[in-house]
Amino acid sequence: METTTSFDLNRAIQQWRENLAQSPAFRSENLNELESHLRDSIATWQTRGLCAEEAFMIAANRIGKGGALELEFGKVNGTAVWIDRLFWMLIGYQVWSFVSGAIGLVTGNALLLGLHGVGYDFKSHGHAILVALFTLVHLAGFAGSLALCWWLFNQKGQRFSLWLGRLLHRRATWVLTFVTLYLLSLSVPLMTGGTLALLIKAVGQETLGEIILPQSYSSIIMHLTTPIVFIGLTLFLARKRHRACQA
Amino acid sequence: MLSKELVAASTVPLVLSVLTQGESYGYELIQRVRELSGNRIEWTEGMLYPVLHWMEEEDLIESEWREAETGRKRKYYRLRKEGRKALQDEQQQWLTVHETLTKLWKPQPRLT
Repeated sequence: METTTSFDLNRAIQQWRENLAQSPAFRSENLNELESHLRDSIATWQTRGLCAEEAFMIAANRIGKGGALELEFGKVNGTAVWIDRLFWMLIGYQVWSFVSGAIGLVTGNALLLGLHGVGYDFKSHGHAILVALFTLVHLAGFAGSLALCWWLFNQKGQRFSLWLGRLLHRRATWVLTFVTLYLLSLSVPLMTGGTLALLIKAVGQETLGEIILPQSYSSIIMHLTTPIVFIGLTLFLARKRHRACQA
Repeated sequence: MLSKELVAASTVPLVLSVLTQGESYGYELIQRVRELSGNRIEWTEGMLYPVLHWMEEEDLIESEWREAETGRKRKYYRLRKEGRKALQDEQQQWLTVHETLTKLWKPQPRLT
C-alpha cells in the first residue's frame, strides 16, 4: 500500500527551530544562523537526489542534538542562561510563598474552627495534644505545598511553566501580570490579619489565648523541621547534578 | 577520523586559515574543511557556531548579515588583524609539533 503522507519542509524547519528556542542558550540571532545553515544543508542533500524529508533528517542530524548544542551555545551566551535561571528561581520563590502561605493559613484555621465546632475544651486538656495536632496539620500542609508546587512545575508537558513563560514574553500582559502577582503576594498576609478578627468573633478571645502557646511550640518544631527538608533536597539535587556532569 | 580533543584544538586555526582565503559563512567553512581534509575532519556542524561567536568576541574575526545569491540572509565572517596575528602564533605552534613528530618518526639508521 502506498503511503501518502506529505512532508511540509517549512513546517518541519519551523518546529525544529521552536524546539531549540525553548532553551535560553540560543539567542534569536543564533537560531537565524542555525536555520540558515540547515536550509543550505537541506538544499545540498536535495541536489544529491534525496527527497525533502530525508534531506531534512540528515541535515538536522548533522547540525547536532539539541542538548549538546545547548551546552556549547550556553557557554558563549552565559548571561542569558543565568537570567533565565534567576527568572525561574524568582517565579519558584513567589509560587512557593503563595502556595505554602495559603495552605498554612487554611489548614491552621480549619483545625482551630473544627476543634471549636466539636466543642473541644481548650482549657482543661493539656498543651501536648494541641501541640501535636498543630504540628501534624502544619507538617501535612508543608508536604501538601511541596507536592502542589512539584506537580505545578512537573506536569506532563510542563504546561504551567510554558503558560507562565509565554505570558511573561508578551509585553502587553506585563501590567496585568504585575497587578495579579502583587495582589497574590498581598493576599496571604492580609488574610492572616483578616482571619484573626474573624476568629476572635467566632471562637472568642479566651479560646484564642489558650492556643497561642501550643501554636508557638508547634511553630518552633516546624522551623526546626522544614530546613532539613530544604537542605536535604538541595543536597539531593547537588548529587544529581554532579552525576550528570560526570556522565 | 580525528579525536574529539584534536578537533577541539584545531577548530580555531582551521577557521582562521580558511578565512585568509576570503570571507565565508558557517556552512561553507565546514564544507571547505571537509573537502580539504578528504572527509577526515568531520565537525558536528552546529558546534562550529559557538566557536565562531567566541572568536568574534575575541576580535579575531568580524561578521555581517547579508543577502546571499539564494535570496536568503547569511552571516558572513571575515578575518581581522588580530586574527591574522593569532594565526601566525598558531602556525608556529602547529609546525613545532609537526616538525618534532616528523623527526621522531623518520626511519632511524640502526647502529647495530
